Amino acid sequence: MLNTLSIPQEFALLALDRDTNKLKSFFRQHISVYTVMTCFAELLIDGKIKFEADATITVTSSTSTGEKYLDRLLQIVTDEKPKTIEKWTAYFYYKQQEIYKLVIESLVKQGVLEINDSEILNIFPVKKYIDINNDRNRTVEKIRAELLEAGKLEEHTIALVLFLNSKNMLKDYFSDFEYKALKQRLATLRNEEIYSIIKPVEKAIQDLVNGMY
Amino acid sequence: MGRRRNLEKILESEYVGMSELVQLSGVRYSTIKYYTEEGLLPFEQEDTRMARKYPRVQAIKRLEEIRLMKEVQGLAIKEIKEIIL
Repeated sequence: MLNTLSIPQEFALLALDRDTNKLKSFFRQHISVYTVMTCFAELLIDGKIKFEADATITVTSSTSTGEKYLDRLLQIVTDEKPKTIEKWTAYFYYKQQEIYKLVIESLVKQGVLEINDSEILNIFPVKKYIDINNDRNRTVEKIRAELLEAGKLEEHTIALVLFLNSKNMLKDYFSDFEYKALKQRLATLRNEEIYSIIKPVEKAIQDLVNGMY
Repeated sequence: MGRRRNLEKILESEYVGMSELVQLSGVRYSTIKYYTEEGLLPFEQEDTRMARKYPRVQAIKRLEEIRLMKEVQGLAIKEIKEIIL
């Protein structure tokens, strides 16, 4: 049975797929900030944080989530001055890799990923992230089974697909036909609450990556 | 399951392969695979390297149950798993 993985874990698992993404060196620059922002999405969906009227983010419940990376993020949001999602995106892009590393560590600890250190030309160190139990493929199958079939969707899956779409990763795993179907299905979800939760987070990353702030 | 069987033979069989189950149910291959790996579909497998065999009648019935739970009752897969498993 599929390991029960969180949105950040599934996103990082797919983002670290070097076999699929190997030509996209630019892409790899933003894996960490995208992964951290999926942590924000997870906490928003779980109701642990919320947007205030002035668009800053506050913690509504600081009880443990059971995940070290989410608990640490909650602690940081609590300890720092209130920030908008844009300011948090910049914060984690420029200042902080800790949360991203904790997500990766969690995948290794759960036996999902194995990290192999090697060198290119015996000089340049490179890490290879091995998907031990084929959880990447199962995550993709889950997306197919949920979004390409009729019926209710899980917020978790919708959020994951929105982030994958934002990072232009859907085409790496789905055929043109499936990609079109996925996009059509996403378009029908525009009025869903989950869309309004995820969209500001997604926009904040896009604006940062596009050099808007 | 090996060689491709005609529909008549498939409908007479107690067990079917995944492709045959796709043919009978109209459900996507990847969806059946996902449901199988989530423990939602009954199957037998002599060895992990061997192909899975699905009890034809029960598997079709289960796929229809899942479809109804999703489309009519509006349940997500996670909720369906909680009911079935």
